[in-house]
Amino acid sequence: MAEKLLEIKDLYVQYHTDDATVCAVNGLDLSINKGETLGLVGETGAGKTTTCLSILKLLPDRVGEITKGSITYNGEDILAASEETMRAIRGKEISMIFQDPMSALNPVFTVGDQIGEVVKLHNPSFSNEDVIDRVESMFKMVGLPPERRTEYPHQFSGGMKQRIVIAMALACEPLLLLADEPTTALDVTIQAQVLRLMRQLKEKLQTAMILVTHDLGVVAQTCDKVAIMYAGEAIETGTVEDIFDGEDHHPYTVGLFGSIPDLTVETDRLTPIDGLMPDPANLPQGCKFSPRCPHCMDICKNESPRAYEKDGHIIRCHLFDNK
Amino acid sequence: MSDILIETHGLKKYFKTPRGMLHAVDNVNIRINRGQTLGVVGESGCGKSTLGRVLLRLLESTEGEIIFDGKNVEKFNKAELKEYRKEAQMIFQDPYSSINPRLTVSQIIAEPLELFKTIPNKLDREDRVYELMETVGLAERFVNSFPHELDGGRRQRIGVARALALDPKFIVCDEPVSALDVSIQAQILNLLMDLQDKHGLTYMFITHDLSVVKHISDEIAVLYLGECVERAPSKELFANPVHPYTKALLKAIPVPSIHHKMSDSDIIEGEVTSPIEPKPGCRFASRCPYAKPECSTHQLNLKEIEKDHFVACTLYE
Repeated sequence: MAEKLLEIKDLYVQYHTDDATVCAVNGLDLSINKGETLGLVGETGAGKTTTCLSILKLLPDRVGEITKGSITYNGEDILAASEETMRAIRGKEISMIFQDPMSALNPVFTVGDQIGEVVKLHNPSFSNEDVIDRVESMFKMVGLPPERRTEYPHQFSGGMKQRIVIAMALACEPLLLLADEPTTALDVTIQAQVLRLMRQLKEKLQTAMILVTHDLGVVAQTCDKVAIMYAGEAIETGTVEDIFDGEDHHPYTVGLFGSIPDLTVETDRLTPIDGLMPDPANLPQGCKFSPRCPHCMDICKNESPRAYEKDGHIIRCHLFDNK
Repeated sequence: MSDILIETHGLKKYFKTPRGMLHAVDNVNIRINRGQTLGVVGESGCGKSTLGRVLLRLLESTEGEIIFDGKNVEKFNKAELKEYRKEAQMIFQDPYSSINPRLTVSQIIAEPLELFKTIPNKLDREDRVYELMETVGLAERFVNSFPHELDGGRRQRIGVARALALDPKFIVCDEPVSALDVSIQAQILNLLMDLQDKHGLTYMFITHDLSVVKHISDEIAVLYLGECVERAPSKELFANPVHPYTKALLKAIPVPSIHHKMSDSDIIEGEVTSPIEPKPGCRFASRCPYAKPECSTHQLNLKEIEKDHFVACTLYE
């Protein structure tokens, strides 16, 4: 049995705005073992990024609030941890790759300094030479010429900036990497290069990874486990085999697969999901997917579905109540 | 009446930059038949959006001809150009910045009708707006809404309604679904295909997403740094890609199935080089696994290797 690295139980996150309270995450359960890659899939507003920010306790001050639930990292209760402990964890044990490499880098510092900052902060005993050594080895690892560490972000292309951000996240060899749509801003051929790099680094460093994406292709190519999120809940979780090849699925998962044009099969029409994502400030009663669901029953509108589990494949849907 | 609605001959668009001429579109020949869709694919910076804009004369070409319905678009006088503006429309990529935030939905859709005075009567015009909203699947209750009150999918529907308002023959769709979520993407793609069937529209569909382009196009042109490297009917291109860039592009798409694992050897190295003052010869040569010395000296032209399948590569000279 693999060792559990991170466990999220019944997590609720709310954002308080002047007009309304936005329920971004509603009872999320997730767990990830050491060295595993978990794909977090969902559309805009499903709560994927909020989940990542909650793990690092980086939710915006006063506006964002974890109202219920627990996050346990390596046996430690993250939610009870002090800001000091969190600072030691961030960047060293858990690090994050942000969605947009263009805006994640500081334009007025050289990229070498920016990677060096993380290294220095978590290794106070390092001399300047040690820091530079580490930065140069990180550059080599992500496939960039080390002499370019004295250049500024604007001198690099999008794909190269993404490599720098990855180098920065991996500089202290974290145990867990949160990658928030790391390839969405990139062209396909560059995306393939970055995904290959992340796969290789994962094998080399045994880093566990939560890969946030909306691209099911990326998930199939890189992940071990998948959690499909809808309106702040994991409506279906399982191994990639369960999600891509399993027999039973949540209707939303079926809808997602019907919405992507398949390159291998001829289809005349796509079968999209009707309607729109619900407003997270005004969520429907019962099952959150019920207004868009083609199999909606009376019970769906009133009662939240419980988790139906079969060999680790979890589906939250009333369709499986009798099974 | 010939089958061809729009075609280009040796179309070029260069931009002057401080570092030299930027070859955005270089010697592109395309042809779109009536009622069909040409998919234009390529990575960022390959000139696909510029090509769309030049076709609509939103940008003036540097060299070459555009023939629309048998007439030379470049030689249009003011009245003819105004007519062309009616017949050729565009749907933009970003539904957040392509519509005026200070106008209501009905004002946005009615704007082209007012500009071209096609429907003089105000009440008739209103009817037409409702009709258009129904065509694109926008509920009547949104008629007085402002764009910020609507989500991306509905905004893109406004963009589609506006493009349809003047009954165009030809629409350039510049990445119309890339800013949308997958479930909404499929709704808009279905809408565009239904409209094509109903109104006999001709599309040029610009995208970087190959699975979308396969789904919607009859023919596909692959662009690399301003040049068309391969052109073929959709099925043929996916079944039998010949240009090394097309092959690499197809292999780089992550397939949503666990039975098609990508192999590391299929991934091409390097990045798109600068389109400013490109070197002679094949522009893909520096990344191409099959590059030979003659690739960087030879000027390549599209060559028909099979019926309707054109490719520009020294391997097929």
